Amino acid sequence: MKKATNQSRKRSVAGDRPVDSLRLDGNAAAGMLSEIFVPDLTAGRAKCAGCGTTRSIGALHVYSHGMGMVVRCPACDGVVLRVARTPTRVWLDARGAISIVISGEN
Amino acid sequence: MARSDGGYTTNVPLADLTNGKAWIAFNYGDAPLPPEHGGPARLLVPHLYFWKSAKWVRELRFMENDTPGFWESLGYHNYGDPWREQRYAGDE
Amino acid sequence: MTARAPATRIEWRLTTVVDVVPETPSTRTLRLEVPGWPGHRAGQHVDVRLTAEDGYQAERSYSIASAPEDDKLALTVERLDDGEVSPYLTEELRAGDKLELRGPIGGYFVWDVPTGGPLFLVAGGSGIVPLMAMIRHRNSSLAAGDREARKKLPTRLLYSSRGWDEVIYRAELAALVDKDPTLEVVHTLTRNPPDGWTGFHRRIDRGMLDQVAWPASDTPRVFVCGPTPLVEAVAGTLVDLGHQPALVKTERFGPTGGPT
Repeated sequence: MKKATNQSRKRSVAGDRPVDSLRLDGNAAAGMLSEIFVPDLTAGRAKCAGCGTTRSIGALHVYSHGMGMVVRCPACDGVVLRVARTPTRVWLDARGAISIVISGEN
Repeated sequence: MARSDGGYTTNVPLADLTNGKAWIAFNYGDAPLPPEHGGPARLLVPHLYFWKSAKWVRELRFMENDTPGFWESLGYHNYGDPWREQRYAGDE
Repeated sequence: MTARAPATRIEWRLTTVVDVVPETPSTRTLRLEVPGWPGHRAGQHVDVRLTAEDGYQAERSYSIASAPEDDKLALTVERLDDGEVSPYLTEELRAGDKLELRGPIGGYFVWDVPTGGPLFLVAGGSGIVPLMAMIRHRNSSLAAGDREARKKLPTRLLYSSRGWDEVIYRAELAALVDKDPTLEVVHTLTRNPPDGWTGFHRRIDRGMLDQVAWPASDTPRVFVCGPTPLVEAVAGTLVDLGHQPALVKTERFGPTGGPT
């Protein structure tokens, strides 16, 4: 059996894949994230654990599956955040973000 | 564990894949399975909830021990039997 | 002046429909009375939730069309034939009905007058909605007579629609442009233009952007909204033309061009 490699990280160029036209911006995850965080997360900045680039969460790519949302880094396509909602809980996996910075209101 | 393009994974017991209970689909009608429907190849497990029928499948890894996949580790039921309405973790 | 509410958890609330205003054959503006609305910023959206008798719930996001200065909250909804939510909102909802929503949501795709300009807005179809909130906010916030303030915030909208009948807010945009020489609107129609049409008659492309956008050296604030393929093509081209990626903000509506 083939050993698991980083195969799933190597993505084809944006535009090739069927999910590409479904791509949304970080904004699309703001509602679900507001069930976990009070300040708006999309105005904050996240550092991608995959490639180290930092950018506004609003500028990340969001794929909404009906099951939940997957937030990916536009540079390396790695998963930065995963959010899912069940009737009683909201689940967040943030291991793809090394850090998240939110500035206070000025 | 089925691993799909995009890093999605889903775990299914071997007994639920064998003896005609599941397919790897790569054609629909006379034509290759289109990408919107999971082509070039997808897993089809009709007796379990839809997220077990992984689209764009790249690899099936046989494991000794069960491990939760992508949605199973984020609040969704580990097995996913629709007859018992096992949609979310904790549903019996 | 925009109200800045203290940060509190956004909760679902019941709002009352004041009226449903036709904009184009397939779009309606819902004007809502929202008790305790904390105010919003132009570009933000709300989540709307419909609950069927059997308990089934459907949620969708809709951009806020009204300016923060307006007294009623307005959402403009495009009816999608295979939509789950939009047919109800555009055809069934009546004045006096209740609508459950939460918001305002989003702090990234927002623009207020203090952010500055020049401002370049690119809309595809129903992507005009959050950009219209920005235009309305600019108009309300800058006093009519203050030409200096307006000259410091020159604004250009490039708006792609299928046909002339499908241009949302068409009359209001024309009236604003008439009164305000610092606001320009350029339309492009991708299908049958009306007789005598002398404007653009094709999808937005590099040549059009090169012609219409502020030069990159002016460092304009850019907001692009509409179907995902349009947004990605426009944003990519603007970056190719030299605009800084951080100044080009996008709001993709997905493949159909609007929430269903």
